[in-house]
Amino acid sequence: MKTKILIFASLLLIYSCNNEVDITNPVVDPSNFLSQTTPLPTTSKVIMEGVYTVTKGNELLGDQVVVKWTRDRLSIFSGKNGGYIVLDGGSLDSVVFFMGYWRYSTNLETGVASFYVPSGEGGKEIISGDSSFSTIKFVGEYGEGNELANNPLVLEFKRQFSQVVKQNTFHILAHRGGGRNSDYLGVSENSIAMLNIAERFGTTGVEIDARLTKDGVPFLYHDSDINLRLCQKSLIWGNIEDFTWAQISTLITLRNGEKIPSLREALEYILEETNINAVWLDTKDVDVVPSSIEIQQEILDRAITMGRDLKIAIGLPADDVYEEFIAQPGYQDIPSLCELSLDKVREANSLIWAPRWTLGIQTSDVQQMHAEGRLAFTWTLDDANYIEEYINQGEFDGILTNFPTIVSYYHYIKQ
Amino acid sequence: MFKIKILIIAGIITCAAFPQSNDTTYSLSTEVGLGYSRFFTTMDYDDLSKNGFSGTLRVMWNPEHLLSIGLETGYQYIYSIDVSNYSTEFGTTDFSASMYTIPVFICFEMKVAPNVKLTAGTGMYLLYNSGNLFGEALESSQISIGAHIGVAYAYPINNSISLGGELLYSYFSKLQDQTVAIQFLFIYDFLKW
Repeated sequence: MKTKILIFASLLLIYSCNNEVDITNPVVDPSNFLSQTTPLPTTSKVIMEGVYTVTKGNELLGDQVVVKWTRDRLSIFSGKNGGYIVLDGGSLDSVVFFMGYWRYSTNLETGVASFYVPSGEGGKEIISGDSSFSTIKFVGEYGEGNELANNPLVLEFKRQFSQVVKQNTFHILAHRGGGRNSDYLGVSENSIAMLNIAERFGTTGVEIDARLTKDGVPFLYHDSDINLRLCQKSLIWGNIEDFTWAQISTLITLRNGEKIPSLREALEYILEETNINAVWLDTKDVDVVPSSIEIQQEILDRAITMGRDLKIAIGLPADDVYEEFIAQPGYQDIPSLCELSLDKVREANSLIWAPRWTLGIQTSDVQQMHAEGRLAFTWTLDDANYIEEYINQGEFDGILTNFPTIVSYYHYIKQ
Repeated sequence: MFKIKILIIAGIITCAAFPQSNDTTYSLSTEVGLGYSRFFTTMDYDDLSKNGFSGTLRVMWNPEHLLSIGLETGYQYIYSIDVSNYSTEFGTTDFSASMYTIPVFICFEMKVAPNVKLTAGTGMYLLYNSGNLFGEALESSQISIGAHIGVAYAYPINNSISLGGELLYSYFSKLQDQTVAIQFLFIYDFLKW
């Protein structure tokens, strides 16, 4: 009996740490059909956005969805399993075509999806940018996995986004640059590749994690050590901050093969290549505070020059980081995000107060922050029921989440 | 697959276990293993050296049952690499890196045939990294949980000393890689009662 237990324990130990899941979103090659189409102008994109009724394909998407352009893709967010569709699109004659993939963010299901908007069902109006359309109908199909799309999917325009949604800036903040490795997004957390696709999930802001190399270069990385949750196998292991930037860059690749980005590379990418307008810089180490501030100021200056609306806030998650921050000259003029008490928010003159979501909606405190000209974000909220509750009953200005598609859905359907 | 085969063979042998011949004596023994280790990895580096020294030191309590329990430490080479004129985006440099480990294990042994016993252990591997890149030392250490399983043959020279060999498979959860070591084994019962 003892031996059996021993063998069982050995098997358990050996195999329990290796539960890799391989999920790959279907790749729709736009070079075939979509290459014959013409990209839509901004005026066309704007009029398509809104809340749509699902008249066919409810088993995939539920009863209604949100249709929203996110930089270069059309994204569709549903209330079922955090479902979303990411599409490339363009027009040909008076018809608008879309091809892409769907995915449930809360499980591993994915598949191909394609749509067209017929000429007489809104296609003509979309192409001409005519907002006086009577209807927009997406007619399409979806498939499971890599199977060809063969299940009908029809979406009909229901209404535009409400005035509440249009008039208020709500920050949909994606954790670790867009999502975690465990979310199987196909790119690594805290990578440039993740920042590139983050907006497709409805993200308007990102939280990224900053650490400092041995030779003083701030870089993006969540954990303190080199490990297989974040990285591919490499020849160096141990505390990642024991290595220089050149050593890390040369020897370590992230889980999906990307390079670890420096903080400067990441912020420059956000500034120059995305429409992301809020960056929550989660300082994982006290030592990274001064150099992060230096880069933050430089990027913010460039944003002003470019006329770009961009907030970059130094995260103050713990007392030691807070103490280091308020030891910096002119700290009250440095945009920061404080997760600590309201008194410390005021002392640091933080731009944003960010309590954890488990502390509740805290409407009174949020209103106090608003009265003082500050924003209030809550973190890290992933449960769909609570997301709905916090959006409809709370007054937070943003939610940090691993599932921005769910936050997007509940935010954009808000009346 | 290789891991599964090892465990199945170990299980079959164990099923055929027989009673201990001398069941009235307790003893403390020290076991020293010295030998050769081979690192099995999915890392793909042409110049990676995977063969090196392996040594184990155990102190075992042998009660009147078949199962013995004890503590183990030792040294095991994992890998090393030494590359001249390594081309990188930061320029060309000489590059070296190596890793060895010191286990701190609780260890179990079970006699399954005359002079043959199975070994299994689990605990921490202290992983030590060193090397050089761009003229800067690479120095770090890390802890990994891990386990090993092995089979040993030890022939008694006299009442206190046995000599033999051991085949040992080790798994490092942090690296998700393994080693197989073959060692000469020296066992000395230094205390009996």
